[in-house]
Amino acid sequence: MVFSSAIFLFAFLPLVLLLYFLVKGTERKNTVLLISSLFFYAWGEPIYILLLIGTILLNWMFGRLVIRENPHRKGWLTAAVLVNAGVLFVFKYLAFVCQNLNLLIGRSGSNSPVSIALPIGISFFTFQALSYVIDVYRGNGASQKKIKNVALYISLFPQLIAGPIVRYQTIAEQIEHRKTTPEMIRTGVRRFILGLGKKVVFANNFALAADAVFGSDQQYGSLVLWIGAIAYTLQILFDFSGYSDMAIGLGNIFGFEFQENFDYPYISKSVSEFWRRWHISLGSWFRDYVYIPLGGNRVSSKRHILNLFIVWLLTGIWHGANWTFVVWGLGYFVILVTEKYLKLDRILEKKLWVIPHLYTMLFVILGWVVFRSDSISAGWQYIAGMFGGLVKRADEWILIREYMGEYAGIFLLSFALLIPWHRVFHLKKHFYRVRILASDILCFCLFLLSVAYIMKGSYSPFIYFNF
Amino acid sequence: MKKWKFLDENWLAVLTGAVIFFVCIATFVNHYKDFASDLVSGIRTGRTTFSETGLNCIKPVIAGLEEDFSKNLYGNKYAVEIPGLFNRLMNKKVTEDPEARYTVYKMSNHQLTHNYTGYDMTDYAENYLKFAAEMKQIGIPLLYVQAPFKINKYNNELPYGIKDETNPLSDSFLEMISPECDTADLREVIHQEGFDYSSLFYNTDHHWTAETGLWASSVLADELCGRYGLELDTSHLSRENYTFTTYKNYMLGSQGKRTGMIYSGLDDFILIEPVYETKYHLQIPKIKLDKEGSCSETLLFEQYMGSNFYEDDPGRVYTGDNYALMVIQNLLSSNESKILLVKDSYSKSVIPFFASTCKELHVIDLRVYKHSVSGYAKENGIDCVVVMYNPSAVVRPEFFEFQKE
Repeated sequence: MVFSSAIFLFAFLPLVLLLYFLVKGTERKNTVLLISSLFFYAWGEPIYILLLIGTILLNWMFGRLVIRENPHRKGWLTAAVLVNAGVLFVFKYLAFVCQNLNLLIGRSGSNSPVSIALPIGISFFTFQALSYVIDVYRGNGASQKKIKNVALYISLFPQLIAGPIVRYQTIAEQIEHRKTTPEMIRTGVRRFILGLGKKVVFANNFALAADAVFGSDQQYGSLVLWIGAIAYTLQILFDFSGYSDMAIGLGNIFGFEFQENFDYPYISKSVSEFWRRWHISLGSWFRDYVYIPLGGNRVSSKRHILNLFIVWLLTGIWHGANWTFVVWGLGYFVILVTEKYLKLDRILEKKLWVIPHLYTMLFVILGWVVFRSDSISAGWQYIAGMFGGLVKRADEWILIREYMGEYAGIFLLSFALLIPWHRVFHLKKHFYRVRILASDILCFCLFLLSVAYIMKGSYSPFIYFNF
Repeated sequence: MKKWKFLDENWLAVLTGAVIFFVCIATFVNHYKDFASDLVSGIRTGRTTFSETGLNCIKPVIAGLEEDFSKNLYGNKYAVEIPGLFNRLMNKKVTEDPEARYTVYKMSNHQLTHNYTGYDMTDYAENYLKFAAEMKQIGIPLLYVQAPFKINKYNNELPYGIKDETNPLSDSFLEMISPECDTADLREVIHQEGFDYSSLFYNTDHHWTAETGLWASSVLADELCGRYGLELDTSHLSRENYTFTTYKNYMLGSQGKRTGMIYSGLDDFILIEPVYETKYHLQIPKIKLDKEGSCSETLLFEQYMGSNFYEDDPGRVYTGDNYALMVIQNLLSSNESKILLVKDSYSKSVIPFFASTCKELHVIDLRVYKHSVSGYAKENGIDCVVVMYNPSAVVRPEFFEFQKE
């Protein structure tokens, strides 16, 4: 089930909240959360719940075997990495690899001989499970004797299927000792409502706007293509950051403090900065578990570039089993190496008006076009069109007028959410109570609008669901 | 004071929680029996399919429960107004529906419509041709009448970039059956007559108006007389034989219920009643209805005249629901003609007027009728069978299952 569904909001969540706050003691509360998390996953994946349980069991066992006292712990760590990567490979990449091998050896037909349904959230929970084992190995967290705590860490439903990827070291203490305060509930509810509104009101409407362009069999000029690309750029931000907001908000309500996953990424002045603001939990996971162990930037330039190549190749692959994701990831590799070695990121940090923002958004938007496309050639065709003539036919102006007539409002409203106004105008202390009251009123209106949309049952796919 | 301070600081969380819990409790209280029965029947079905599908048998149970919960969510009928307002402010022309075929388009004449796409009419045409062959064998004339759709075939007013996919489906069906079967296309008649197309339909509903139904019954009667020499009394089918009572802003149609009335507006509803003497005997076996009386007492179901926009459907005033079988005997008929009408919901506003033309009007709706149509026609001495469908019916397989037993 998804957070923006009626069954989650009006059946699952109230029941879990009721049980959670009725029971006393962290231990019992953890039991409630664990059972509800497993039920939550089983509801969407009644068969692959066994995969999740298997992942929990295996990684708990690995966590017991990589402790300092075990002389063979390195071997067990290797086994943990191979097993988790293996599981991810089989369910997510095997079909893709087989399909491409078929093409390589010249076999006719483009369908893969292997067809395995992708378990929801597998990329998130395997990374999270691996994070536990590695953190125990490094001594950044104690090996859990209680399998229940590991199970809860891996399966906690707020962040199970679409992140943020929570590190074991940040949450271990909270699992055993936490308290939900009224302040946390207040913050959590606000955050949840903001995320729900981002997803249901903004992301879903931008999805319609983007699909109208990407899904059309018509040839359009650059104006329409740019509008479609910007619509998708906004869709993916609101979809993913909205889900993260809901996850963080729910975490707060249950007494957890998760790390931020998005920090207004579209105000970035360089691509390097963009990746410090976008999907922060994934970026930091690859930094801490791949980049730094490979040597990071404390190696020769050649080796540093290789390290970056590996990280961005893996980042692209993590997003999906398609060459478009590989190209997307490697595209960022090229830009980031360029920024780093030409020291562009330092130049762009200077006050150059909107130029650094436009520069960054140009690459981000083009990247999303490739990301969204079904194939590299489709992505290339779309991008080529974005730099072609403004319109291909005279009547395209009618389409643009009608399209903008429908979506201009939502585009304009969304810009209010892209910029951290409170930081821009340093509003921290000014009119605090009035600001809080106004923002709460707006929040409640957003909540009612979101609930109304959910009740109406509008178009509501999560983009990052299949990762 | 402490309590007020708590509320002052936490009112958002309290109110949000209150809304969530209220909707949750209200939904379960109103529908727990439905959910329980869905769960039980899902488990029973799952048990029988387990050997074939393994644990996959759980998925349809879950999907069914989730769908039921969403459909029965407390307040969902009314909540549609808020997105409707938002959509109206945004000037949105397309309101998506989880079921793609029910996506609503706002045409430039401000009427709402669906648009059906991606159907292959071949199987339906084959079924119809088989049925036509049966009718030929038993010597009963058969006429297929194509009713019009809200999208004007000759001037579709859909939002820019949206193609009319629905009329071509009917065109393709007619092309496949017309070499061997009698057909009449009301869309062509309307086009030739030069009617104001949008006035033929409700703004917020997928049906044509009752006035259009009256007109259609007259065209149908003329067709049957002209083609097959049937004796039908067409003297009551002109407007002067009826009173027209207008109920302004009375009705929120099916499409308006999906988008909200703030978005769609409301329709006027016109109740058409005969001024001439009528006496009918109506039988509807499914609901064990057997009564005699005037048109208003039998064929007009005035109990459906309610004005709750979200719950009521005044369109049902004209012959009620879609019953498997209705038999209407015109006790004042001047001829002995017996007609069988195989219908969709458009025909509901044709029946009260067309019933005046013949001695017996038998009406079958294949969505619910489970027997052979040709068998019924033969057993009941039918003089002529009419199949009348609008283009949205043409895409539903159940409308072409003529040979069920």
